[in-house]
Amino acid sequence: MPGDDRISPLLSALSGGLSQEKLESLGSEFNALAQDRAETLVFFVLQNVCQRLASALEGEAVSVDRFEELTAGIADQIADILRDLQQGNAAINKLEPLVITLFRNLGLFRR
Amino acid sequence: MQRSTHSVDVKAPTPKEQLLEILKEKSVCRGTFTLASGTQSDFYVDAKLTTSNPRAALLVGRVGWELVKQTARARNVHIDSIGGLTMGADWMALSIGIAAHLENSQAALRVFSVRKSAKEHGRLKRIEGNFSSGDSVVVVDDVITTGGSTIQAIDAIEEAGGRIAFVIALVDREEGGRENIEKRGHKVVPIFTRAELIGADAGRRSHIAVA
Repeated sequence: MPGDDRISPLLSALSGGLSQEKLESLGSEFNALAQDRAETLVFFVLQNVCQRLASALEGEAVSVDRFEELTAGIADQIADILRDLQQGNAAINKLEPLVITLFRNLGLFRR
Repeated sequence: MQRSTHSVDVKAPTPKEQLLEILKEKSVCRGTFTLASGTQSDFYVDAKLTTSNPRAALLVGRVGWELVKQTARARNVHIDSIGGLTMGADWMALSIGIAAHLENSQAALRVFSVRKSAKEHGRLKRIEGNFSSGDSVVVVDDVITTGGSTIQAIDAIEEAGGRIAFVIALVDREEGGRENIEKRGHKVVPIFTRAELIGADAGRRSHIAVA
């Protein structure tokens, strides 16, 4: 969807790097997009990724190194998915790698 | 035997001094941290370790309630309720509410909490607890850095029909948050500033910030 007004500001926000406050704000916008647009699953996953990461960072003394570990790869992968959506591509196949990155960063894999 | 009339002048610490000691001991961490705003700092204030401590909570209540009364008098405003964004504000608001109740149970403050986002079912409430549209509100936050969480609370309270009397914070990190909130027309009154907590020049952030 070229020139999509709601996606461009999100890409712009992601280009500045992540923070807990930014993840909360992105999560909130993804939640709204999941309800407003056709790509419900994509935005639902993006919202969950941002929300879980924001929760992991909230209320913690997060060292700079730990912050880098927790957020590594996330902004780039989300931006890649958003660019796909802007170009009218479904981006579904990019959701699993994103969730894998999140789980790896948070140390959530049990297998 | 003649009793000595000489007395040693040992001044008992005030509640605010006692609170500062607890805050320094329990809540100030040194290191290199990424804050919620994405900025980096060489100190972190985990205020919840203080506000959830029973002894400190009593002191937060006493000191905070005095500050609320003093500020309300100076600004000639009446206060109906107190609250802020969960969870940083919750223990602090309740402590101040309890102190107000102990002083005068008839004129007690009502206490509420602001959710980070509205519930998506039921009554879609963003504010929980004792708040009414039209209330004159003191907004509370534990630590102000960029002012983001305080502004979120202000927006939610105003959207629900509250009027902001002023804002109080346990710690103002003096990193622009107070100015950001005051730009919106709301006075900010901190109990402690960064200078009081860690010294005037210590802990200056590295200004590595994300946009």
